[in-house]
Amino acid sequence: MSVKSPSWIAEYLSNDKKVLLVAGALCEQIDFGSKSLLDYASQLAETFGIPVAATGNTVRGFRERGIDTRKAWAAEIINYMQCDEWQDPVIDSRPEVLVFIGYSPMHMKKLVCAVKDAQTVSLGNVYIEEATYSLPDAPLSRWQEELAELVNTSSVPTS
Amino acid sequence: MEDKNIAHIGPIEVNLNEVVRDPRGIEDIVSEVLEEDFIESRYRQFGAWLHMFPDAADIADWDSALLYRYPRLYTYSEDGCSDCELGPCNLSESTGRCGLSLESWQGRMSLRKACRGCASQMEVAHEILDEAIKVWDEGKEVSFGKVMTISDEVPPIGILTGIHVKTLGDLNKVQSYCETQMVKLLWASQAGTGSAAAFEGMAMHAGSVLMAAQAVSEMVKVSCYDFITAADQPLIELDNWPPATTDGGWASIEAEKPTIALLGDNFLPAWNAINYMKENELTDQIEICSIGAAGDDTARFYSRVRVIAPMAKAEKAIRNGVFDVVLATTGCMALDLIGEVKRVDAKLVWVSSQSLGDLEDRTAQPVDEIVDALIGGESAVWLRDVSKAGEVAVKIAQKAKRKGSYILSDDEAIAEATKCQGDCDLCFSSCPNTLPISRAVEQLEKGNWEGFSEVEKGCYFCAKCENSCPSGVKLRDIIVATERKRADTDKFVMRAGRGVLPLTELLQSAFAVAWGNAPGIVVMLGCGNAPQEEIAWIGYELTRRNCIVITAGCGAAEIARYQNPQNKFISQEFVSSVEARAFVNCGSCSATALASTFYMIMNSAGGISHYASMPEIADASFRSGMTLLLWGALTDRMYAIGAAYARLGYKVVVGPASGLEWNRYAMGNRHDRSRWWVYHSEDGSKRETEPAPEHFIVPVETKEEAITMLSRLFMSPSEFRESRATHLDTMIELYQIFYDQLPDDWNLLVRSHLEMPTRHRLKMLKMLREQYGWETGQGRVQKAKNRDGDLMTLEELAACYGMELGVFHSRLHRLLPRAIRDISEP
Repeated sequence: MSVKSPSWIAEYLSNDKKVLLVAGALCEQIDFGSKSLLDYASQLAETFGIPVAATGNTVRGFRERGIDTRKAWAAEIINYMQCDEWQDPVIDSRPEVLVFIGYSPMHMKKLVCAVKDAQTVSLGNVYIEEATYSLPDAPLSRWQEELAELVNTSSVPTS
Repeated sequence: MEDKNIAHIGPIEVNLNEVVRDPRGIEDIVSEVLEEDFIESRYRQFGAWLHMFPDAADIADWDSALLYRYPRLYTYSEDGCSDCELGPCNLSESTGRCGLSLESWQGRMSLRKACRGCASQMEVAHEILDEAIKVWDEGKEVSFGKVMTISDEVPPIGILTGIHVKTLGDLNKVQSYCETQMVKLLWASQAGTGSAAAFEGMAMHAGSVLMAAQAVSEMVKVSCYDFITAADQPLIELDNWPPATTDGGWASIEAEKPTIALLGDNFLPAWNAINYMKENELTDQIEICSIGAAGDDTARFYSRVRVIAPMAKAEKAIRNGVFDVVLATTGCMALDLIGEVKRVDAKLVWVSSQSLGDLEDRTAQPVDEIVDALIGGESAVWLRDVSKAGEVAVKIAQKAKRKGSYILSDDEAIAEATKCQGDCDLCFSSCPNTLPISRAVEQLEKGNWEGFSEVEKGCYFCAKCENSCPSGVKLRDIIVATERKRADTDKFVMRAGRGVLPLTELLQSAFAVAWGNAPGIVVMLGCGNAPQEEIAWIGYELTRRNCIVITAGCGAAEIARYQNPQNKFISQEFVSSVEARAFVNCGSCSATALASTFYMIMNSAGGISHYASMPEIADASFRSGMTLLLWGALTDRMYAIGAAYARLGYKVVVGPASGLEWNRYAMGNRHDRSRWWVYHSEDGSKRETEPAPEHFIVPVETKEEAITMLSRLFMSPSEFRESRATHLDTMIELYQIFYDQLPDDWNLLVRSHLEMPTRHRLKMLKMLREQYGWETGQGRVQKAKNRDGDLMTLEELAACYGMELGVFHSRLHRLLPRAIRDISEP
């Protein structure tokens, strides 16, 4: 759908919406040197108060960073979105926005395509056209800068 | 005159029109199945309905039952259809011109993918069968080896078509049926206007048809070409048969000798090449290497083959510059074989009914003329004669003289890396396996190969990185140079494929499976595009946890490379007979049909015929811990195979990258109680059950998720206490090892404290009391809480939730006993 800047996404996530962060296996595998993708994902969850669906093997890493969460499965989260009743333990009611981080571009595309009746945000380093909002194409260094900008932006919306 | 429409099951007279939709022209086939493979007591209790040579619609009720509980989840990004002249139609806004909805169109795409996967191997089955008939004629008897009964003989063929195959002529009927079905399914995949569920049923049917064609190939191989078969071995020897003496890896090749690489699905050129070598006493002088199915097959008739690479890595293997000749046939994927052989001065002998590039068909030319042309400078030849191709390949190998190394030197590789302009990371972003390529390039610029050492292990040469590189860095050449660095230590041993799983052997595993020694049965397949260390780790972890692990195809060798801390390979550590803690290799890609036949145990366990009774067999299989893991499902063929296994009652797990590439899954929702029920066999009522097995076709991301998800899918209602205890124990253990928690909603799977793993029992009882409101004490459940929140005794719970132990139940009303069908409504 559209490319958005980190600050725009920060403001969007600060609005009164039910948001779920869906964090994938790459969060553990991508290391920017000073920080890992999991560090940024954890900060994102903390800064914006977003519950985390820790897919792949990320749940332990989130807990080590002080994020209280449960093991989740990416495909199950998407599958639950198809159903009327929402009973997943990670979040108490159906999310309106799913934020994806830590998936390869191909996986990201498939996941967002499968989501029905909710908005999606892709926080990878490749623009995902099918997401409602997405960070732009970026090399790893600029992606890190964008993530830093995102998590460091205050949660209070600018007037 | 005997009425051909009447058969006899014991003393019972059966009218064929009451058991088959249309018996005309096949009365003798139907009668044979009824009279030789049906048990009187089973028929009296259940009756029979045989889908002889079925269309997809003949098995649609079973397909629908599965897809009802496990609704489809599609991940397509496209929403328009341009399949016909009346389009294109934007399906996100309305139905198409033909009435097709977006979801139905997605189902049609799923069918189309399955058909593509089916076609590739079906062509090879036809060619192999055709050649066999020309050599031996249709009257030649066929079998898989010494078998006990008709039930044992042809499960992948009989379960679908109903025919008891005895001759090549019978196989020809099967192949003809398969090809007819392909035409129908292909047409539906282009212009069908059914529902999404109907298309998914047809996709499963395409998989079933593929497996029947695979079984045709396998039967020809054993009957006509003396492939080794487990059916001919004494049962007592199967735990170490075939012996783990098939060599693999680059270091297994005697590099000073000329080398022929076998590639593709059709083993016949390889067969002829090796026979020519034997006749001319050349077996000590020429090395035979294997890439993909043709090589896997070769190991079953020639012990000196070296297993080198899966088909997915064929181009990578060729670029290593070791092979003098590549003897290739069509396979599961399209490759730039001519381009790759030219780079390394190898010679390609292409054997197929299809052309390759601009190659001319030289079948009519004399052998020596062809050989001279290639030795004289041409790179490739196309032949349509398997015998001639074999001789040509050997003669070229004897004469080929190649320049030496075709690999980048260290300096050249570093110079390539230095071309990188840095900081775009497009190589990393485009890699399907998200390998850290850009980081590896950065390291190599400084002379450090460590990064590429990791990249190389996960690379299957798709070229996306190279194609995306704005600096034109020859990444794949660097990767091959990296592979060469470890070539001297790349050596492993494995077992050749053994073919079938004989019924006598399966019976010995019954106690392991039903009474919980083995957590589950896992058929493991893979194309080789997933990192090899991952599939090998999974194979090892499952086997050492007592699972029965059965494999076939390219994934078999990938798993076989696993070496334990004592330096034993997996084939050396574990037994090879079908029992707990076993690792069994059935053979090449076409043997995936044979790997699926664990369901034969239902014949002995439930008296179910193996002929034209897929719903009965699959319904029973679904109640057992039978699973399929696809780790690296690169090809459309794997999609069709996954669908076929799912239809047979296997629960399918797919990963890692391939998992989410598939565009279609079928997953359960444990919270939706309306879908978790079965028909109780005592009165035909619908009984709510626990949400198990939870999914039907599900993608996962990591190897840890793979084995944890499998542990969740081993469970089913009505399993015995020991099985449930083993399954709970395995699932809890894996969740705790990898995720430091218990599985969510584990309470839904508790039927009794007797099934709680001893080491977790007190903790589980405490949690049931404190978190779920059960009454527990003195180490037992006093009262359980059902999903409506009512407290009740365990006996009361068993009467309204889940199935009583070992009690028959079904997902299809018509599979219930006759007496129960008569008194209940579907």
